[in-house]
Amino acid sequence: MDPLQAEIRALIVSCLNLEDIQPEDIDVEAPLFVEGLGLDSIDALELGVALQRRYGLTLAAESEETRRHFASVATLARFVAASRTK
Amino acid sequence: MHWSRVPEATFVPGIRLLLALYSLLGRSAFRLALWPVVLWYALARPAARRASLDYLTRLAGVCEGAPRPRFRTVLRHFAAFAESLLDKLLVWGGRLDALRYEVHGAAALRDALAAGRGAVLITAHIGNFELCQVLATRYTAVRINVLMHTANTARFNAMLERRQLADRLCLIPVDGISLSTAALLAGRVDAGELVAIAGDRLLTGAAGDFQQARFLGAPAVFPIGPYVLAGALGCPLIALFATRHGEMYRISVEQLAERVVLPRKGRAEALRALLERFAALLEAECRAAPLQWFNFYPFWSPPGGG
Repeated sequence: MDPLQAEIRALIVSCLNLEDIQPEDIDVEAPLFVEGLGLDSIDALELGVALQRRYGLTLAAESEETRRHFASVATLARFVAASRTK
Repeated sequence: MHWSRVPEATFVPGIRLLLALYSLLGRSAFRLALWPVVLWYALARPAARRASLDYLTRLAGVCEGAPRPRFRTVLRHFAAFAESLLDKLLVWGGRLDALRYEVHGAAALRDALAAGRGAVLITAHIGNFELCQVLATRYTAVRINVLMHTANTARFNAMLERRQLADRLCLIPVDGISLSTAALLAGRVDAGELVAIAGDRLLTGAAGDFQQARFLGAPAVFPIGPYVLAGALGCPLIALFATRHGEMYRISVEQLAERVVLPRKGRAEALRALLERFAALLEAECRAAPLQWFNFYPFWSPPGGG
């Protein structure tokens, strides 16, 4: 497995305090929001801030693009790999 | 009606004229010349007049010493608003020396910043929020990022821009707390900067962006954005108000939370507790400065309800 995907799964679980979920339980291709993991917009903000702090990301103001990056662990890993500054 | 559709900019040509008058002849002349402008505004803007009367009636219902809710008080209410605009211009024009102020609770701000991390300042449209910005900058020497709904204030901002704003102040236009805004602000708060956001205006009318809390005797609609943002940033949340008392501004600083935590389980309760605390602080400010509440739209109506 892609180590970045594993790192992001662990980050999701720790930053959102997902008590009943292990990082391995998260399907990297499954949707993070609404269906799938079932995160909401407040979770999205917390996750966005955590990702910014860890990887020094800048997120586009255009929400459709950001939504695509945040679709799943797999899309997030690709986005982080392409735009991380730390 | 959503507040952003209230054309508050219609006040600006009048206030610019009055500002010129103030520069030439001083505050007494400004106050004297204010009344025709205020009377015109009260007649030309029935929605604002009704909102003022509604607020004054609710305040009088819960506060014994409050001014009587009648047309004359509405005029005084608008006059206080105009005067606050003059003070805003003085502050933004670098004329803080023209105003007197005292600070209560500045230690809360200093303590929060001592750790090198920033904080979220929650403010309101009462008194003179601009005074808070400059004073906080003076006290702490860090940049303040003010989240603003610019669609509403574009003309007012244009006037302020001509007055060369200090670069320690950064206005960030927002129409909701987006992921990109939160990530941007995380970088700034981590660098020790402050983020100021109004706790009494909805950024959007979308369901899920607001909650109700009791305010002046009845449930009113408040944005949850400030608490959600402070929660995502994991930083202190500090309430900041500046109201005028005679010739003196009283600036009060109060910490709402050392670190905002919105746990997944019990999130609604955590939000409600913060919101109720803010609403109670705001109500206390209204009691102390009854004519300085400057939300001239139907504050107690849910968005989209009229």
